[in-house]
Amino acid sequence: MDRRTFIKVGAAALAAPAFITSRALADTPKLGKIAYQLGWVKNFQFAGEYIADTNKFFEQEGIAVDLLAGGPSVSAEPIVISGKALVGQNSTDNTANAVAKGAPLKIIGTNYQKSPSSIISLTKTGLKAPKGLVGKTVGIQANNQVVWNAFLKINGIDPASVNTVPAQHDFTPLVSGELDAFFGFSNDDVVQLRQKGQDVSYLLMADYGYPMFNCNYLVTEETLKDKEKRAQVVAFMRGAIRGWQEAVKNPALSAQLTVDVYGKGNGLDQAAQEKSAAATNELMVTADTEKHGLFWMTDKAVDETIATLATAGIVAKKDLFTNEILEEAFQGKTTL
Amino acid sequence: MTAATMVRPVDRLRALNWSGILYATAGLAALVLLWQLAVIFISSGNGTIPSPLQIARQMHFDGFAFYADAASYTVSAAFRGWLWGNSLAILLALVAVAIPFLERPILQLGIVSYCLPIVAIGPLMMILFSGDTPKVVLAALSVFFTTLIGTVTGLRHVDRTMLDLVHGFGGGTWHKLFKVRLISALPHLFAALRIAAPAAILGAIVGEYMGGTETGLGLMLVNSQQAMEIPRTWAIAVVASVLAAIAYAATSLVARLMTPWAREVSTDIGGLHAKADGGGGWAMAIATALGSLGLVLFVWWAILRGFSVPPFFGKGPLEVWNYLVDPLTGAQNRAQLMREAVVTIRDSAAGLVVGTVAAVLVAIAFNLWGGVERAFMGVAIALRSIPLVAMAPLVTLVFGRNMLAVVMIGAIVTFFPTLVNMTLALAQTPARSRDLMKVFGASRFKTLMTVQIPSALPALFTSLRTAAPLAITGALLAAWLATGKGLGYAIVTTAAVSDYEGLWARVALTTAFSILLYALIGLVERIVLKAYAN
Repeated sequence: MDRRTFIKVGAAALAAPAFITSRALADTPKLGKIAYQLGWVKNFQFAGEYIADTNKFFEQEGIAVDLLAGGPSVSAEPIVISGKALVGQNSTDNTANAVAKGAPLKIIGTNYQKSPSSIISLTKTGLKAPKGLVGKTVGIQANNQVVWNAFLKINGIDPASVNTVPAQHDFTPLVSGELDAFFGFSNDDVVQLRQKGQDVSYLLMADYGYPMFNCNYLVTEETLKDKEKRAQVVAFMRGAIRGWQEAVKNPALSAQLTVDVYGKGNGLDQAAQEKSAAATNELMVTADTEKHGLFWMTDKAVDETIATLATAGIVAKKDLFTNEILEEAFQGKTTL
Repeated sequence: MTAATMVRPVDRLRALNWSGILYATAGLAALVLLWQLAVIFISSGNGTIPSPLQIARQMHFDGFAFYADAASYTVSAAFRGWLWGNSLAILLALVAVAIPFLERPILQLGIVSYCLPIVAIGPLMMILFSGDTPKVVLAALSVFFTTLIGTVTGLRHVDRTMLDLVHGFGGGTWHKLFKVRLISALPHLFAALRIAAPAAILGAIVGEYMGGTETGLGLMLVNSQQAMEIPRTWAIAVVASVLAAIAYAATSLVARLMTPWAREVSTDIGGLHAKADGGGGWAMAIATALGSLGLVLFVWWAILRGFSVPPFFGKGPLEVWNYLVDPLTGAQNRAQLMREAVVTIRDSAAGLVVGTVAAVLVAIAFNLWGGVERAFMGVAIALRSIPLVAMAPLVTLVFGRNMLAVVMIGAIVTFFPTLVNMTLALAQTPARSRDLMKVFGASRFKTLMTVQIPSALPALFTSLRTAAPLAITGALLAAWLATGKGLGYAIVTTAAVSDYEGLWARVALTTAFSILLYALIGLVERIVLKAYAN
């Protein structure tokens, strides 16, 4: 390390806390400031919110939003209940489980109409249908175990006939040949693997009897009842809708903001993030959203999601999902 | 400890010792060469095991600033954690020595802090704190116990005549504490701080890896793993271990400058327990044990209340008790816990035994061939600081997902502290005994077996006690990364389905095991040492 760099590094270390305080002191808009707990580390998955922040959509809606990074061990539900964040994001099965255990939460909109949950394998493995999983070794993350069991059940596969082993978000065991298949997201992990030159195929669970929303916005019941907080949530959702409308049109912008601003310095690859952002559109934009607007949860889709959850042994009631905030946000329109 | 009172200065493990650096470089070069050859001639795991050259190329491609920027955040958090954790540890150590009544409770809480499974408390930190605080707290927790123990031991290791002298001149407890004990505690304190520096860095990285952070090496690790940037994942691990080695060396250097009179000491916990025997017998022992348990339960409850943790997530002792005795599901819950516990106990025991035996053998090899030690001690220290999560795919590829993987992970986790302590202890054999053996013409090996190893026994037990909670951590890690069986995996699956009673019950059980194992080793130690003394 040469001397100048050493000084720079040292200065950065000392300056870090000061930087955080100065940001917190910035002016707050009329509805105040809230925090949104993201469901993963800052990557393309939250591009709509980055755009809303950068293009001042949130500010125009009268709200300031702190985007709290998530990660492998961050669960939005307790964070939203504790009040550290007003809005959070997580998958439907996680939230439904929490609610079944007494968490007073509501899902107020969904990012992905179609779940990106997939079983990914190297193409040469020749896994073309769920039946092919019999006798294979499959890596499943602990928090997707429930989803996995339901998927096997729906497809009539005996869980004992598949060797399920724990996995993280590192797909190396798939490439090294240690595992035959791996649970991941079609718009993220599949894209990343292909970007690295791996010839992979995937079974999108949604195509095999597993309809389910994924990556939903959640708030507490109390927030919906509190006038002030409700107004904040509506403003946040308006900003997010406007941001995502832009993101859908412009994956390049999504990737650029992700790599150069919000996830800067963390080693994200712009080309891969852009492909992921583009692949996200087919999960977000469907006939339903064309008709009602982004994030909207139709009765039919809610029923299907509940039925899928039931197969997974999770009891969810219909009132877990509510479009009331979206109704207020859209005001009868389908775009903002 | 008798060994500590009459050793001659040893010049092992010195930082900035030129021949030492030469040996260390040779050791590192040998390792790198072997690794390169293994990747070329044995296997690269279908391209998933990068060679040192590939890693170097990746680092060159990414550029220095890429790693330095992220590292600066990690080091900043690690440093703050190091500062907080050590300050608190030193302060509480002073209190413990000044007010003997408080000593046991303070040490008990220290042990609990050391035994808490990070997989479980990490998410709690994310809920309680924002910004950098979770990783700072995790770094602080990583150093607290070893420094507490090191300081208390140091404060105790005082020349009696010095204390008597101060007493004779009319000095009270506080005078003794500040004029004599503090100064003579410095070598022990520095020994602890040396271990603390790499531990703080690893703690901060693990904290970042869990999420909730804007930047840092741990977050970069998450991204590079997900993007299949395998050489970069390894490069980050290399950077982490280089940072840890620098921190270790820097502390050693400061220690030598500030305590030039000091001989090298190991962080021995042994001396601490020798005295704790006290009077009172069984009744007293049971009473203090119950008192400690009560204290731990109270602190558990108080933290949940004090930080107003949402009751949906934070389950206290009472809820966990109800989870276990519930008339409907209690029996099933208990049976499930029992099954998981058996796996975890078996896995930790295997890891502890293999790790300790390996460390003792290597320490003996180090002792017999000094060059080997100087060559590979640095490598061992650096390896200690590699975040195991980054190496999980390699571990499962090479060792599979059965008992072998479990034993390897457990052994990796427990190997290092035992190696360091045993190497120091073997070197610290009373010089007079060794000279005597020489005079009688005993072989090097004979001296080792009859003099050095017996006199290193206390240090072995010290290491075992430090390693025991680590072995349990290793078993949890193995479950989480490789096997999917036992308490370690149940902790993550219960969290995934919001079964927080189940989660806290398992955290409590795991912590209780660590403490029991810790106490059990203390008991065996007393028996063995007594037998040797006779």
